Amino acid sequence: MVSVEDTVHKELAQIVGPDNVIRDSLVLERYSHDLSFLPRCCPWCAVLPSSAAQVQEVVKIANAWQLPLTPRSSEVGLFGGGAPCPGGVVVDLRRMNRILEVNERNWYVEVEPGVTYALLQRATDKRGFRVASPLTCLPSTSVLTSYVEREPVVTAADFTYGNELIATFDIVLPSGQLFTVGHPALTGTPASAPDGPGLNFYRFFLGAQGTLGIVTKLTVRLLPMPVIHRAYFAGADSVGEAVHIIKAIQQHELGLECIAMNRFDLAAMLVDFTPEDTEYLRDGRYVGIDGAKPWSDSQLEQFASLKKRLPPWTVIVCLAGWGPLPTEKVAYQELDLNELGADNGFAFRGALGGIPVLDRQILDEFVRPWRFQKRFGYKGSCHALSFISPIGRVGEFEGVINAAACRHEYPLTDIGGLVIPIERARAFYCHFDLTCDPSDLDERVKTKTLLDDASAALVSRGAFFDRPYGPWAPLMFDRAGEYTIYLKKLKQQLDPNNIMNPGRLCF
Amino acid sequence: MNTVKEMVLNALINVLGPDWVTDDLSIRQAYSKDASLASVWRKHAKDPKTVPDIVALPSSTEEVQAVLRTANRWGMKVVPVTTGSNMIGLCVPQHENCIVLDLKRMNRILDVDVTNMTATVQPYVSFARLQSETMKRGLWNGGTPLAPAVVGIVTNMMFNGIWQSCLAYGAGFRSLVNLKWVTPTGDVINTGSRALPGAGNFWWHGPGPDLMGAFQFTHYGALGVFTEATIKLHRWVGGDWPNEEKVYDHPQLPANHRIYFIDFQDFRQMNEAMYQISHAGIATHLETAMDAWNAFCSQPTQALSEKVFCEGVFPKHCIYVVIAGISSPRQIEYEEKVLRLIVARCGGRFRDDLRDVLATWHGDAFRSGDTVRVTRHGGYAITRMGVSVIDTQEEYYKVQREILAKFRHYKLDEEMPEMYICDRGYWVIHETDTYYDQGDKEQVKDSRGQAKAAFVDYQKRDGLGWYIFVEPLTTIHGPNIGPDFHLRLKDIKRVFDPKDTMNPGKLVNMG
Amino acid sequence: MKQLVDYRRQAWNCYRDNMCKSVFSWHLKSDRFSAVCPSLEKYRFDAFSAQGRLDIARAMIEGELEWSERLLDTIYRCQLCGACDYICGRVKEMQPTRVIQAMRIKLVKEGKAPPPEFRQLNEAMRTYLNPYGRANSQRGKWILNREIADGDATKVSRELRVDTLLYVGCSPLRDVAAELMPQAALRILQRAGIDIGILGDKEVCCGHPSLCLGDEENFIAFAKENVRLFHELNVKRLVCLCPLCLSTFRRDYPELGVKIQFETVHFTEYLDQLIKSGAIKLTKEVCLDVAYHDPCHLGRISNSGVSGTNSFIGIYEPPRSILKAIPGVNLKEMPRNRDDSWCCGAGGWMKMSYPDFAIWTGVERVEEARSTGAQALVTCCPHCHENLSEACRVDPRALEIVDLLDLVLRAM
Repeated sequence: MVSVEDTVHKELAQIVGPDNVIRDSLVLERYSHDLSFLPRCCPWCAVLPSSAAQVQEVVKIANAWQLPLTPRSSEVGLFGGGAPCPGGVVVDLRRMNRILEVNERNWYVEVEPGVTYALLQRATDKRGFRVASPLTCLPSTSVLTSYVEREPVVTAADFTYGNELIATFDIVLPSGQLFTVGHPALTGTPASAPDGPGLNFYRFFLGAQGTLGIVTKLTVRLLPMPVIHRAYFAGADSVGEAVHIIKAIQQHELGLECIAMNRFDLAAMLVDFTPEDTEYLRDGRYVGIDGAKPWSDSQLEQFASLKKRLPPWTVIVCLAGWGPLPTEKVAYQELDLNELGADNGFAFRGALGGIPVLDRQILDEFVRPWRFQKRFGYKGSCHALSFISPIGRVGEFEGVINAAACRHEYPLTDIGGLVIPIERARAFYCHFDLTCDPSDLDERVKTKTLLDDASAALVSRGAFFDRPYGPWAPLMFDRAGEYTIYLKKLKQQLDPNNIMNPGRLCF
Repeated sequence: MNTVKEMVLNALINVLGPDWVTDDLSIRQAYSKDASLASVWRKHAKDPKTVPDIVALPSSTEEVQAVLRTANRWGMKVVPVTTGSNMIGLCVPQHENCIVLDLKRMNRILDVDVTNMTATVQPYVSFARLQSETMKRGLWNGGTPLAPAVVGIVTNMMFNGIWQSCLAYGAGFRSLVNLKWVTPTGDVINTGSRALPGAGNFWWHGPGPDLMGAFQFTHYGALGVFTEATIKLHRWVGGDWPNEEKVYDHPQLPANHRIYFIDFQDFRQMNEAMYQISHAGIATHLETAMDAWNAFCSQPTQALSEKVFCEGVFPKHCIYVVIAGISSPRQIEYEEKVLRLIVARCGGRFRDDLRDVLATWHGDAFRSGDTVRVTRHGGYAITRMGVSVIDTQEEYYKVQREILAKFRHYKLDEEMPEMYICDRGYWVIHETDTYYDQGDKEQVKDSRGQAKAAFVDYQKRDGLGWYIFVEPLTTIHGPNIGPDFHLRLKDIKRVFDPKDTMNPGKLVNMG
Repeated sequence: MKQLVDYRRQAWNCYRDNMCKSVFSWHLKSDRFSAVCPSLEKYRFDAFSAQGRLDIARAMIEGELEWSERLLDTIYRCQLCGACDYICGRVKEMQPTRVIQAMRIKLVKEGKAPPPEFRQLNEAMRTYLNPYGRANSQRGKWILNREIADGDATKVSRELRVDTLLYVGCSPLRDVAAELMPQAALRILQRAGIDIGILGDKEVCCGHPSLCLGDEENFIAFAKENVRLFHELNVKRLVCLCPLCLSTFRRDYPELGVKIQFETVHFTEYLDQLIKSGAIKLTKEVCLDVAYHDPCHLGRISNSGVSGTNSFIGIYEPPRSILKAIPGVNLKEMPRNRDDSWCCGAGGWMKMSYPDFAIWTGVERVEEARSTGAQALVTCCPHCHENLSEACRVDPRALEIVDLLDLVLRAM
């Protein structure tokens, strides 16, 4: 007598091949958790498809057998989006790791889910392009996943938010249908924009954590690699002061990259690593599902020393030139930046704190982020509070976090802070890290409690967690009224069997 | 015994008051036609379904909810309308038992947030009105389409609005931040940061999946009615503007802006120049300055327009570029240098000699004024609106000339498309139009022929994508889109409008 | 005159561009004062806009719409102020007020119009040959009632053979207050020693009220009589005091195919020339911040040709030039000025037929004047003056309605 389990495994094996159906519990253990505080949960099995057609077939089987599916494309998850459901199947898309096309004329690249930032950056570097990369992602993060999850990038064109750099994508809907969003939905139309047809479908699938389908291909816009690229720094005593400096710059539409970091985050980025560890960092192997290798004593010492040399917050703005007259572009923008500073009481310099080649490190980081993840090694792990804020409330929200930290006797000096202006500082993406030793259970509990407390306090004050992972989901959706109700209706309509990552968001 | 219509009428009068609801035929006639080919054709056919049964004017979200609930309950259809200016008959009824919901009384600018660079408005606020208030505060919305600046700004944005500064500020619909939306069943959905009490109106996307996607693009008013919207603003460096000498057609160019007219020997050169300019990261506006449009807009009478067109006063392959000194005048200096380099490289010529005769662009490029002159011959219909990358435009141009060879009926029917370069050159929208006397059935027929031919011919060629789907094909979306696409539209329709109350048949046929 | 069916092309070719509902885009600088169509702003249904009325006209022409009381309402609750003519003329070479007029003519011919609210006006025009229902023999009363300052040497010429004739219009028949304007005009000319002819009780109504009602037959009769009289008198230049009369002579008489062999000017044009030539000197200071209201019939519907296409420009600058010549007067432009002017409310004889609507419209204009910080709102039309004065009384906050000629007198 053949068990249901075996039947299903066999059906899956027929689609993806027997070697690509994982039933070994030791291997499955690697899917059971990520760096978030979500409780561990082992999947029933994992499948590794190699094509969109195979994904479609897997989805059809899941419908037939009511199997929960959790798509996953990155080695390490940070927020629990890829954590499996009890009795569910992880659809591991990392075999789909081809860069399908780099279109140098029309400035876009087409990738499968398994393409990481490390891989893609190498490919685009060679051709004089860059893909806008989030600082907060790891080099091992799937490009597709981070764009589809609206991870903010530092380098976006003036008017856009990160995901507006998406040109199109293909998604396997819960029904098993392969659906293309945007103008390329019309056969043969080249990648242009993700809007339509008919409605802006693409918006449903962004920030959805795989609950409304599995994205199997993404076309993302490329940016030209600057010919001239310069970084400038200004100190600020508070995040409030920093955002106002940023606002002035962004309103004048000056510069390309522009962020502010607190001394914790910036110092962490600059700590020296061994060549071996540096290679791990670049390849995305430094941070694993159980955390990162903790820093040595000398690294901690260096970190402390760096922090002393840095102001509480540092605003970084980069000027970039490409095209026919790149030098002239940077030259006039530099003059404008100086004038703006003189009129508004701030001044940018090419260096900060006597730190050698800081500018080159920063410029390289913005193009190929790999240093920012060093902060994981401070204690082994980081847990982010990431939300969107209007300019006038960034300081207020930082205050809420700090107040929560004090309540839980968590040292404020151990909190990382990064703010990124979005859309010419119409809003700010705020990313505050709570560092934690993942091997210390008490500390994990304490940090989790602080994270939950701070999250609740932030949401109640109106901080907008636009990507409500884990504990943020009930906080946000319980307050969102009809929005939540209609999201659920949408889910019910598109996924009547509730097979797509059930239990996430408000589903 | 009262009919359903009478009961609904009385119910609406109870809610809105007798001044704001009517079933009088003379009032209803004024909502039965727009200038789309669809609507005009049906008027020639004397289709009675074009005339709504009731017209209602709500003044608040609560009143809109009440109207929609009433309609839903009694099985009446609802067609929402703000200014009603669109090219494909969206706001004109095509069913019996129809209520037109005129949102004209909801016409306030609720807030201009200078710090967060947003404005919150009600449905009947126009581009021009909003700009008039924001420009005083050093902000603007980024422009207007060549459609009249007095049309509803949000409805235009929701209906995939594009404008002439798409190059720098993205297409119009990227300007929508969030909405307060009344569903056909009378529920209110707040999208974006509005969904979270205390967060304010400043942000879009989410929480989680963004429902605003359902209400955007060419959604045809079929999923509900918005009663408030927050839109993005950008820095305005143009000073006290607009200003026009009262001798017509010579508006001043805004301060800190320059405009250039450049012509080329052929389409290919022009196309390449547009590619290079957009990819160089300069300018705020980059668009073709079509000879037909120039002829229409620059001249005060139709006779003069036809004369200058036939005399070839305006070059065929001509573009206009606007450069703004947003950070400083140095920006203008730099960008102009780059522009001149590219133009020289591509064999173009700056046409400063046209500056005076094309002075209407000083206004139209920022806030359209005289552009409605393209309707002076009577009607104006989009025969084709497609989107793609810049390089495919030459193929479109070729196809368009083939179609005109068969169907041209008016000398100014466009050969050269309007091409808007969007999102810093990542994509381009192009449009071609036909002009006809709406009262002349034969001309209307010819124009429909052009539109249909364009649809069929373009579909045969790979790489030529559609953007909006003009009558009579609004619910077909073309064979290339695959057999199941309409099922996905039905999915969405079922979520928000299970009884198919709103604008039935325009997004998808639920039957 | 053209009949409704002659406007078929216009009626079909409304584009629903909405331009008729708003100040022209390039002139719009105030959200609060951005509307131009009083009937649309008041009644809100599209049927009360030019767009809606063109749709109604189309339906009437095509036999899709029958008479109803509400139909009359939509067609007659309109000041025919020409705001839509200017904008629609500018962008589409169409003149919606002509179409509205043609609808009225058609309905009157069919015995279905005018609506009851216009009955009194209609009867006055038919019986008394003026809109106020007074005997025409009273037309010259304002001359007898005037005060002539000591030392004036000017004669008031009753000689009927003069080159320049001052055409006063029917307004003085309305009430004593309305006599002030022609009296002021005459005193200005007398103080300057300028000779001008007046017809007194021989004056014939220009016929505008009949045209407005749609009584084409009566209007043609007035027009023929006036033209005969002026030609008989060998008038070379007709100086109109009332903008309605001016526009009727310039814009509406040519529609009848009537050839006019004399120049028609408004009094402000005439006065402006006299000031510029030095014939009139303004030396006394009048310290006043003023807003100036452009009467519709002096502006965008003041002449034949299509408004907004450069075939004519409204008489906007002469009154302003006069104001600027008065020492101490400081002009503060309203947001809606010149071609974009908001109707005072009295247009289309609304005061006699739909007085609430007329006052509502006037209150809006007074509010706009107040927004400039002006102390006074100046106009040079007797109808504007009347309605704006009444509107001022609705809202007790201080704003004076002042006749331009009165200011000139004060400065002489």
